[in-house]
Amino acid sequence: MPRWITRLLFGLNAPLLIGGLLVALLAGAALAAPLLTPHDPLEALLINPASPALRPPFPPGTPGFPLGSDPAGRDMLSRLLYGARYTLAISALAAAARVALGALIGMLAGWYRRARPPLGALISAWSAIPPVFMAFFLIPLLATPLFGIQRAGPQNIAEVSRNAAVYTIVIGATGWAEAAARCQLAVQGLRGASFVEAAYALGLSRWAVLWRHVRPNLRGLLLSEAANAISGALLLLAELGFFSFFVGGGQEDVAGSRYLDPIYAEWGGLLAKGLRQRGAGIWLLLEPLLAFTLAILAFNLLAEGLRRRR
Amino acid sequence: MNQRHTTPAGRSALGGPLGAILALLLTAALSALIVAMIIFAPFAFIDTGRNAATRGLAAYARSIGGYFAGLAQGQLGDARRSAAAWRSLIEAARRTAELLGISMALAIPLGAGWGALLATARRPIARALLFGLNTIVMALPSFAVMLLAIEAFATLTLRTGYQITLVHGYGLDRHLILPCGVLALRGSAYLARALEIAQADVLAQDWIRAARARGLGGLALWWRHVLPALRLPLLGILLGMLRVMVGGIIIVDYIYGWGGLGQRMLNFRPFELASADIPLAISAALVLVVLFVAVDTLGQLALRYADPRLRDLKG
Repeated sequence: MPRWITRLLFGLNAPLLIGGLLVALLAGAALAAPLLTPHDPLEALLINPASPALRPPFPPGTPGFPLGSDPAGRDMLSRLLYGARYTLAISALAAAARVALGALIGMLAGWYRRARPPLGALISAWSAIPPVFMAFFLIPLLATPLFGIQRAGPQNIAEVSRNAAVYTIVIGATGWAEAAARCQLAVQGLRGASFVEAAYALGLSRWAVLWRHVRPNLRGLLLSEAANAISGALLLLAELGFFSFFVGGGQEDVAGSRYLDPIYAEWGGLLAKGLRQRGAGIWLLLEPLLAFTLAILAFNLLAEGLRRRR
Repeated sequence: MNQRHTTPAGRSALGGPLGAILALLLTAALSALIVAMIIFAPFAFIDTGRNAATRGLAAYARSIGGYFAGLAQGQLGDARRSAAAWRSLIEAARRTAELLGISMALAIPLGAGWGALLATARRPIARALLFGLNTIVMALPSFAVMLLAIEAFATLTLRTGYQITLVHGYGLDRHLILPCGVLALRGSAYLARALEIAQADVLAQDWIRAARARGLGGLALWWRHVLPALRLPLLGILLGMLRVMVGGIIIVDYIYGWGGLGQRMLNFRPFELASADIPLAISAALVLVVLFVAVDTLGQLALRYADPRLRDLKG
């Protein structure tokens, strides 16, 4: 075995190795969804149209439906694999926003003494408000006036895409405070470091020392924070799905119903539908729940592994 | 794992307990303002066809100001309903406090035992199993555990006629089993993991190596050298555990129908809220949010009291 491979594998701790493999598996499955899925995720299938006894939902293990189907006859494996694309993309973008915002505010709060009381209070106040509660109010606030998404009636694909952008922004805006708190503590710890004093002695300004010398030292912390943020974003998507808020749905239709069929097979939408239709088949609820749990577990392990490496 | 051993609340530029109290007041006021701004915003900026009187920036500012002015006079909403709203809020807060207190009392011994097992297990398989179980418990969303447990116990009762626990409602009896079990499981998993990390940090110190070189080991080493060094991290860890449990209580309370602050908070949705109920919605959210802030700040104060290095920290 080449030396670089042994060094790479044995240099990794167990959580990093397992978490990394799981994340790679999830990302690979999401990217290769068109190659892996047996059916179109939106196509309603029937085993035998002539036989009324064989009506969907088909349970897991039915030939042609390894994970069963939903009541409309759509293959659950295909929906979950395609859903991984949208779910992971929204979570990753939202996590990037959380970490970027958290790092910036945390660095300023940890570095500038005068900025600390107001920014520290903002970080504490923001982290005290439950993200799911904040999202209930922020999602309609952004969706209708800013993104022009109608509150009533079914949505077309362009509106659903704008809705995905709304979810990404809201999830990004809710969870930055934890990353900021940890960044602030790390920067405060580095203020008295000898390399910081050396940088001052060279005549650098405070901002230059922060940007050129302190920021690179936060790389390890920010990597594990990014993994943590993705896991937090996934958890929030799942919780919102539980409350019937999901991309392309969770809005009111003209009859006042909140349950539109998700055009995207995003996991939050599958969870919301599964919760409502679990009487027809418990797998409709269990499968999206397991998908969320597996993804959260993978990113938690990755975060723990990255923390141990620091 | 989302660790929150220490947070910046309470560490103000003023230093000392006075600074921490000022920071608590500032943070509580700011969080109250943010909550009110979030709740009133959809009514002010989205046209629902029924909210012409509350739309626009001026009406938005008036609504927020009106709420806080009323609160300053002890009013929750209009005078006629204020007394009933206060009673309802106090009852919800009492139920939340009961659930949180009993769950904490369960989680601390459970987490300490789990943490001790994690820290002392020598065999790789036992360590991997304990760590794996811990990671899975931390990864499972609280609502999923609660929902599946309710389904499982309800099905068991339906099929066998034997009722181990109740699956909905408030009561200081068998009603406690499910919500306290779910909350304590998550809290104890956090406590166990954080304790193991803190102990590993202590065991890597030079003075522990020196003590081992002098022949100390086993329980004597742990009692005389490790435990005293764990006192400070333990404060932060307990605080983190409390935060994890307060975070989980909102959704557990809602799903179980416990009737606490979480249920009152999550029952409210924009556009489904009658205007007379808004003050109660904000107040339920405020009590929980201020509880979060107070836990953070009091934890910082306790850490500052316990650790002379933090007490002398200026800026």
